[in-house]
Amino acid sequence: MIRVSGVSKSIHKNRILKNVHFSVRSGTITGVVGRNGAGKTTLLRIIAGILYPSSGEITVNDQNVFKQPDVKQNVVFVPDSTDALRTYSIKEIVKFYEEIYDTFDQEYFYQLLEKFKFTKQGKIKYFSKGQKALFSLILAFSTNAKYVLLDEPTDGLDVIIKKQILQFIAEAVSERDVSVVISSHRLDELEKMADHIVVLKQGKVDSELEMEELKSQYHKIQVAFEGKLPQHIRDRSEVLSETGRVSVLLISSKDEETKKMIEDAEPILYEELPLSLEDIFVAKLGGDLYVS
Amino acid sequence: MFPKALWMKEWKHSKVVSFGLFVVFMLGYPISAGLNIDSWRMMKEQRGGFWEEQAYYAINEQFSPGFYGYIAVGVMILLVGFLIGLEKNTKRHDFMMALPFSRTQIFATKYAFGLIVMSLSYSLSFTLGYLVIYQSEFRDLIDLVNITDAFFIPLAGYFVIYSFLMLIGAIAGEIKSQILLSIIFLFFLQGFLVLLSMFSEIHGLNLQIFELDFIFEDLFWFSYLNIMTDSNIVIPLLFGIIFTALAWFCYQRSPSEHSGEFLMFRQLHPLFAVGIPICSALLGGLIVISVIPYNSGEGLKIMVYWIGFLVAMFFSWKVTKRLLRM
Repeated sequence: MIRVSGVSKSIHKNRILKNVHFSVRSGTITGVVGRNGAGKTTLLRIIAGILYPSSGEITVNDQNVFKQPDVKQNVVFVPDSTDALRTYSIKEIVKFYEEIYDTFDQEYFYQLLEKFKFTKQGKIKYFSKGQKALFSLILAFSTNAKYVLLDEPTDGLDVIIKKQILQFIAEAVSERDVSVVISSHRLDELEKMADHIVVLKQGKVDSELEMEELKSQYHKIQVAFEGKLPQHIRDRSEVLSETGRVSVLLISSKDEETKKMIEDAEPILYEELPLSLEDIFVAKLGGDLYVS
Repeated sequence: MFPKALWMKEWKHSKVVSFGLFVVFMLGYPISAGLNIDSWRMMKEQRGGFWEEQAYYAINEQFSPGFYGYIAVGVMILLVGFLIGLEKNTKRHDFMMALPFSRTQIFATKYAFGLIVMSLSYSLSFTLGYLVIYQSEFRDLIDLVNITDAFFIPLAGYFVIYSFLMLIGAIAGEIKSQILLSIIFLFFLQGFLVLLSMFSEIHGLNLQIFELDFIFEDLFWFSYLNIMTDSNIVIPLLFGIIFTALAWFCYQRSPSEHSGEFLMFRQLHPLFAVGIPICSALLGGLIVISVIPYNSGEGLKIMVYWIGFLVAMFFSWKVTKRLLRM
């Protein structure tokens, strides 16, 4: 388990992280979400042992990453840029990773290269931006590390490669005994795969949410009435949008009373809609977090 | 302590500069020995008497690093830049720090890599140079050289310079500032005292700075690259060890969030913010005064000196502010 305990970090006299606590369980996907500048990348860089925390501690399987850096055999950090790999050829990087990670699986690595139609030779710098991003993920998962930290893995990529990458992460997690921590400001991407969400707001953990639990806590419904949305219903629910007489509401699953009120008001349209993570954030955080 | 993966990485990124250092040493010893033998032969044939007088100096100069020694130090600055500074300019620094190695392992590998490249290249070239002369008709001249000193004193000089460069590398935030600071600080102590002495001379003071032999000879690391001076090998060895320990300490403690900036340690900013303008001002005053006639009056000299001093201080203060904001 990765445990982040009371981590704070100041850079250039600015407090980037303030007393951050959370943990990452085995076999889960944890999404770290927050606006640009919320401290997501700094947090991942501290977990990876790149930055020293100003205070607090990071442990992986109860070992401190700074005092026992060997424990990072189980932690691979994939930054948002692949610059560090650009001078290597595929053969060189395989040899290099084999030397670093005792559990590097060369067979799996080449299988994945074949699956994604990569050449098995040549320099990484000649790959396109999307290919480089996918390649660094392949490399990271081939290490068989227990924890993979991904910093904005789909940032700046086109839709097709983005889909490929997200699918690859989801498959790798389901097939292998690995936990993934993904930092992103794209809620729509995370909701499809994350089990656990850590919301960072101004350097603090604003909330920690379990996806399954969360989705069962709310209902999203689209309603329309003869007149305007009755005030007593408006007061008891979260209005996500209003277009003419059609309103989209978010209500708690347990709130039978509000559901009864809606039925009693005899809506001309009543439809249950699929719930998205964004809806929940709007409800819980008043839309403060969302960055498109 | 020295993981193979780290050796592979250092080799990949520094092999070209390492080879460059080897070439410089080869030029300085076997190749220059081969070329000098021709000149010596000609001199001996054409000006026998003169050659008799010059033979001692010629053979000692051959084993003294001299000009090639300075070039080698230049390449060593680049080598240390490639080992430490270049990483900080790129995402390679993050990549390195995220690997399952301690900072001590990372530093020790970098340090050992450069030290081995430097000492092996030097030793091999020196030996080949020795053999070239030993195989020639000038073999007897080797008796005029203290070969042990000729080998070990420059080696100790390179060791202290290399360790010092590693210390600067650990402090600097990126390769450009590392190279700049390396060049400045190799001459800083003596240079600063010269500037101070000029300042005192212009103002009618007599600080006797040039009499500080310990600073101008023992602590001037380039003096160990001349085997014809009387040098104490203990000093460069001792300072080399001190610089190595400091470099390790600074590398260990350096906050990665400042990589890419001018300095890794913000605690040093006040020192640089004051030090750079003062040194520049002293240099500015010296440069400006050198353009007025030697026999000008003392009052004029002082006035011109202070104009140069203040102008240089103003501009260097502006530049320093920008540098430290980097």
